[in-house]
Amino acid sequence: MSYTFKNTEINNEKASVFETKSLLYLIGKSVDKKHIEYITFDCFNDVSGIDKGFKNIWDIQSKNEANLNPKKIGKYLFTLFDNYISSFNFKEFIFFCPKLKDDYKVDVGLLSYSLSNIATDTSNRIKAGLEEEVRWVKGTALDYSIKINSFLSKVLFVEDSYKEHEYLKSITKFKNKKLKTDYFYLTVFKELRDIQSSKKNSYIENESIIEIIDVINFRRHLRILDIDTLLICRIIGCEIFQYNSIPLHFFEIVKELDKEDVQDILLNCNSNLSRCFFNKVSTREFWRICEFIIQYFESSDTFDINIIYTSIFSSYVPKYKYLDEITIKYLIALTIEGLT
Amino acid sequence: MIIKEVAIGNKSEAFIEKRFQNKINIIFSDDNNKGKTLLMQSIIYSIGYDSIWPVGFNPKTYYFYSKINFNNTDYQFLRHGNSIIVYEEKQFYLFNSITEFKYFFSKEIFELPKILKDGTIKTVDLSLLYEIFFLGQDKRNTSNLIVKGNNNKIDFINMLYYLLGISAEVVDEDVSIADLKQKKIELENKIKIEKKKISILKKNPQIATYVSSVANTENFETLKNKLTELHNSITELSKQRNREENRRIKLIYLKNELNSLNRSLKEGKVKCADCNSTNIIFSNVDFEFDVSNKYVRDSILLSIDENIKLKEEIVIEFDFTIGKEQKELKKILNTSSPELSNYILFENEIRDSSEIDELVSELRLKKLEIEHKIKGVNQGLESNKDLQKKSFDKIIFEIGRIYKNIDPNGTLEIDNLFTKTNETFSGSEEQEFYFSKLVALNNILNHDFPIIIDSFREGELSTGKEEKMIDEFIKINKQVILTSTLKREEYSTDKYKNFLGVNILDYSSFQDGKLLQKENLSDFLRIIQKFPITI
Repeated sequence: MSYTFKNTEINNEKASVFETKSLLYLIGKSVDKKHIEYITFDCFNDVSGIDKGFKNIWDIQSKNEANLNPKKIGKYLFTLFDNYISSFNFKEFIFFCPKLKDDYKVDVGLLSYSLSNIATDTSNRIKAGLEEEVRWVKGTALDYSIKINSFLSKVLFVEDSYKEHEYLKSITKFKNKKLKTDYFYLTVFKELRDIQSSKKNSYIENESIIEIIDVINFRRHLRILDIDTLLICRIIGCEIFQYNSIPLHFFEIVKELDKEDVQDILLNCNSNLSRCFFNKVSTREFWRICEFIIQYFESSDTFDINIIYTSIFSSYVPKYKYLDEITIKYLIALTIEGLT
Repeated sequence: MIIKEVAIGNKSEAFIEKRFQNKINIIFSDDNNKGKTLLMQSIIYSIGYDSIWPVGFNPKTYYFYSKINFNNTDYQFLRHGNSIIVYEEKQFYLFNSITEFKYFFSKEIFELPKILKDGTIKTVDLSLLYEIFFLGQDKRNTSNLIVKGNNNKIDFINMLYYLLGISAEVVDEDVSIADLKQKKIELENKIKIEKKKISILKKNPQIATYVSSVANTENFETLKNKLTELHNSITELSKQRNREENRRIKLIYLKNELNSLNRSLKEGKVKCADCNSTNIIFSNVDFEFDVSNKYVRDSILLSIDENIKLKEEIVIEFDFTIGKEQKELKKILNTSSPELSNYILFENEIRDSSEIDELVSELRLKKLEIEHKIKGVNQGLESNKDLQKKSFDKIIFEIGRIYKNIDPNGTLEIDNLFTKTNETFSGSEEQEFYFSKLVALNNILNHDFPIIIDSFREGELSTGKEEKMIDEFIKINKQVILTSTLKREEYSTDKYKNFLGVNILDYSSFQDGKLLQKENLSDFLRIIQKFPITI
């Protein structure tokens, strides 16, 4: 006799995938993506973006429900509204959801839109849903109707219209994307999803903060740099030993050498990098090096490997013998190759 | 595949042809020696063919460039010696051997057929593949491949089967592993004995240095230089081979090292005490990620494996090239004039030693073959004879059909892709056979390559047949590049004008034997500048 698992938490997996999608939307496809520096999970909302100076917050409520009716939408908008009336500076309110029914929308072709693209009848019902939820939670002592109206005019509805790997492709600045399969992106997506879920395992209910920056103490955030580094590291990892291509800028530093010696150097660098990817001992050091390099290119457009190396690693002393100068230079060249 | 541009040159002279179009291109001239063959061989040399050059042309001193479109992507190739640089969408790839290039080609450009050879599955060589659409002018041979290398007729036919989607064939069906292992041991012993002989011979002084003190004729000087060149080339090649071998061994060690790291990860798994999850990430104030995942690690191991296999093949390629040079050396020693032989006191020893060398490498190949067979038996490769026979007949039938089309009164009985060794063709019959074969292969395989024939009227082909052939080429509707030398009485600049859709390139005005010119140099250097090299 077999036993079939029923009533497990199927929604958990679905919901977390959806939250990761909304995260990737925020940092890859939204208008303000360039300003966002940190992402927090389950603090202000499911997912929120914060800018560099901890001044503004981009707020996302994601709901992966197949049949979202207007009343439910209104109800789910509450967390966004609650943030709207808080003292913190929330810049944008995004409701991230599956594709809504065509007859809810005016222009059915739009994938992100404000309330004005929602049919009058539907928008009235959404509003009613929100009002009811506000009454339920906040009571009737205060009149929120003006605030509700101005809030609703600011909400951005975003429909989930891409596959997991498509969101990821949109956030990587790496050019040789074509070499990677969808399966590759899916594995990275899952990693990101698990990291995101694990972030939520702490308990912060009823904690309060005074400044936005205080949220960092809860360790429920990721830097955009972390996500960039994760993806770039994975891509570079897959390119090790793939081809005999000499990264153009690496060529500059070995061109004086004998062809056979260059081959040996390439073999050596590739071997060393693969050691970095396998050896857990050096994980942290390697990650730091990657971050330095990626960060460097955010503010500079020099492609001279020697200059780059001296400006980032002038005082670097290799802790692991396989993370030596030439290997780091090779890593820099691979990064340039991908970024240009 | 569409050929767009070809260029040949070095620091002092060059030639560039950019006029190719995606239709029939006929390059013609009123005389020989206008460089047509050089151009045709260059096209295909640039993408890894083992070209047969006109006498007196030394390819080692030139660079060969081509711009070729595959699946709507323009690739630019630059070959010098056995190195090829590929430039594609701002990416450079550098290959120091044709084998390395072959693997790139197969992965990124066109997936090369895999055939069963010497008991193992092998990716076919580019020279073998190109023989389905390229026909050079020299060393034609209807009974065998034109450029053999390590390949033979059977490989060619197996390649066609692969292209038609038929699975690989096994030659011996009832081989017992025990027999094979016994044979292997016998071979190993033979190799040992032969090697001993060499070591005795090697104790003799080096021939070239000994001889130089007694030699004084000019003839001998040139011969000596040639010998030195060959010796150097062999030494250089051996060096390269040894380095590749060294890299191969390094990779094997690396793989073991990485595997052991991987294993220690597996053995000492950390578990979450609360939920039993093994998916633990290291986390502290400023760090939360692992630098790789299983996908990345598997991909690295896979690439290393591929590299090890690649290096193995490169070493074989070098062995083969070294063998070729050694043969050349032996030929010179054999054909030198009697007086010269007197100077060359140690000729016999050298000859003996080179024969032993050859024997040893032959034995080694045999040993390899047996090793692969042992592997092959273990893997249980299958064959598909019925389907193969059917497809083969289909190709032969198509060749016959096309042949009858061109020459309704022709008497050739075509029953194979290659003729028997003793069969001789009249001049035009040979041309008709080749023509029918290339067009038939195109029709049956439906391949993406153009058809390239150097000297397509070889053997006094009549004008009537020539016109029929051109019509046939127009029908297949793809890029075709032909060359033709016209007799004085035939020559007029509008010779091929009557054919619609034919691109005509007249080389008559070029100087005899001087395709490469100084005045093309600046354009050529501009092309070279795109690549990360200096010439």
